[in-house]
Amino acid sequence: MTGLSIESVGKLYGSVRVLQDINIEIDEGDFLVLVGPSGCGKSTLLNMIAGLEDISEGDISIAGKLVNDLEPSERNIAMVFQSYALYPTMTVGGNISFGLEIRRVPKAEREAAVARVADLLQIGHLLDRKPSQLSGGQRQRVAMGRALVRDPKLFLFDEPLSNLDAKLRVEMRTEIKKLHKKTGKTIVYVTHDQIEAMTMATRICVLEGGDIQQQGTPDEIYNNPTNAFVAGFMGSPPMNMIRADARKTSEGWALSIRHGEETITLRYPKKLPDSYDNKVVTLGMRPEQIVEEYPRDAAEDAYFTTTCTLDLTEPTGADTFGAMDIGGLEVICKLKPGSKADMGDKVDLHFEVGAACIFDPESGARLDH
Amino acid sequence: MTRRKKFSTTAMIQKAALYFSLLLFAFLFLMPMYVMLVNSVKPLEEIQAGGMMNLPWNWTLEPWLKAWSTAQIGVEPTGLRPYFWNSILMVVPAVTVSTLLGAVNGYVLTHWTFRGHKIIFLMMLGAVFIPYQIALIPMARMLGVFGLAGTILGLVVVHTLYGIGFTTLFFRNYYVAFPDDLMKAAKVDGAGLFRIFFRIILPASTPIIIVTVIWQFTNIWNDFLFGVSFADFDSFPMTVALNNLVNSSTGVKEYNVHFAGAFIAAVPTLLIYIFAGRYFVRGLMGGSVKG
Ligand SMILES: Nc1ncnc2c1ncn2[C@@H]1O[C@H](COP(=O)(O)OP(=O)(O)O)[C@@H](O)[C@H]1O
Ligand SMILES: [Mg+2]
Repeated sequence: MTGLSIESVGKLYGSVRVLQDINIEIDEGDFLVLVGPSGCGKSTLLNMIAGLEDISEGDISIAGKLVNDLEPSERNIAMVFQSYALYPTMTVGGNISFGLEIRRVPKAEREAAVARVADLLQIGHLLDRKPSQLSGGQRQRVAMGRALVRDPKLFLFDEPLSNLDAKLRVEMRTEIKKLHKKTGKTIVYVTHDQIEAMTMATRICVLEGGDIQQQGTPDEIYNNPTNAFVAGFMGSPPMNMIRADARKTSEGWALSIRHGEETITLRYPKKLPDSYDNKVVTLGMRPEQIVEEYPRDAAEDAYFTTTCTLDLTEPTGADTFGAMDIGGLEVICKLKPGSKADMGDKVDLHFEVGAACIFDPESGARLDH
Repeated sequence: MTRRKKFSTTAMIQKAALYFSLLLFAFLFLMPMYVMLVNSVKPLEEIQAGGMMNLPWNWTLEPWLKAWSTAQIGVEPTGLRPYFWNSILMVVPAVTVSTLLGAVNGYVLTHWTFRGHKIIFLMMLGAVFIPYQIALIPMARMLGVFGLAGTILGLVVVHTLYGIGFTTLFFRNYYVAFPDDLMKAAKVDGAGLFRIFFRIILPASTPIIIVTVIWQFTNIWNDFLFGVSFADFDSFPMTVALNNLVNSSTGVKEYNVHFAGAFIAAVPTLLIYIFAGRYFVRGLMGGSVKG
């Protein structure tokens, strides 16, 4: 059954267009993450799903029911806000049960529901406090409790973790994921943090400039981006965008890149449109596709090996990254764990060319197929 | 060594100058009150004998009793008592209604905005700058049309209308700092405009309510112009009655009674400042929205 369906939805503020032609459909129990840079329209879309903003164009249905003209309270949703938005003069318990109280749930039932949620989120000992007496992480939990208590069809989260410090953010990330597993509810989660998107989502929708750039599973988004924007936005360190000259030969396509005085020519196993013969293209390769040591079980001919000079090395603990100059741009590669390579050293690097993506340098469109 | 010493002497002098001027101003402000107080508990002969600053030889509460219940106000020997109640009957509803309306206005103008809300606010702000004198004649005409001329209810209406501009401004400036997410969360929870106002917004407004009440109370209690223009002999507020007491030209001027009357007129505002003054300062400093 569909959990949420968004059809040809657009949003205008007066004559200013903020969203256009948004089409999303997810199943019940999906965890959809809307991700994109700040100002791309994520919150606007979420508020339209919630009923807090008018829908200028198109239709939105929740659990199979058209909700365009329903009030937020009639849509069977719950929402968690970035600022938590706890009611300042009510206790934690009062905050959590406010929605039930308005729905005239009897007192005994309300108290049982609050106790259940408090137990789930481990905030039982905080129920009599005021929001001002809580830490950031505790406020966050209360905000989640307020959403969970009503047992809605759809949960909406608007950057709920962005006000927490890094450590707490990682903890809460896991916790929200566990909650999703446990409750099996449909979730729409907004974030500008691509790591949150990758780790939590069952489906990701990448937004930019009011348009959907791509939607799919985290795996599809990461490994098969439809354009240079998605490729560059998802992943950390980001995908290397290398300037390359494409040439069609009798044995297939060849890509030439410049490293110092040298020109390196890579054999590219996939196909490009014929019109790109003798044109400049963007070769997109993730750092883990340019490695000092390739996995033992990898097919050897998947890699093209060449010697490069490192400009910089960056140990990050588990991984060590190296930076080098290719075609005037910095390119990040992945070195052996605990690599002793240093600035100026020459290392043999293996380029996993078959996994690379080729983009049009102007439009950013994906070219290989 | 010497330099340091010299420096600390200048610091001392600065401090002394500061305290001196503070004391001087405190003295200047408290002086009239002292004069009023000591002379209101003296028999009239002592005042007439001179020595305005002296403490009384014979302490007496007679002037206070007389000012309160038997002094000649205009033509009737009623004392200030009935007029004191007139003022209370005028000030309580006027302050309550204008504060409540200001709160609702401020809330709607910040969190339930509609097309043209800025114009509406500018117009209300304009009301703050209309001089009293300009409103006098149109207001008198309106009260006449509605049959409220010369009544306490009429004064309540006038003060409420005149106060809404101020109260709206106060509450609006306080509520802009409330995050919009708060309303959104409450809407998702199923609360409507008034439930959000009474359950969430108003309970978080204590500081600004206190500021507004003090402001409205002192202004309305101390108002003379509207009272003298729109009220009648039986509906005059305290300020007008006090004026009539002092200007009653029968016989000798009973200064001690006048002082006592003036003090009685000032008591409610004094009490308000004493009990709520610290919130007033805090509220005017603004900010602290987080409850
Ligand atoms: N009430 C509004 N009036 C006009 N423009 C708005 C309004 N709210 C948001 N916008 C614009 O819509 C765009 C998307 O905003 P938003 O959805 O908040 O972005 P995000 O949540 O992705 O950071 C922004 O460019 C913002 O300036
Ligand atoms: Mg946002």
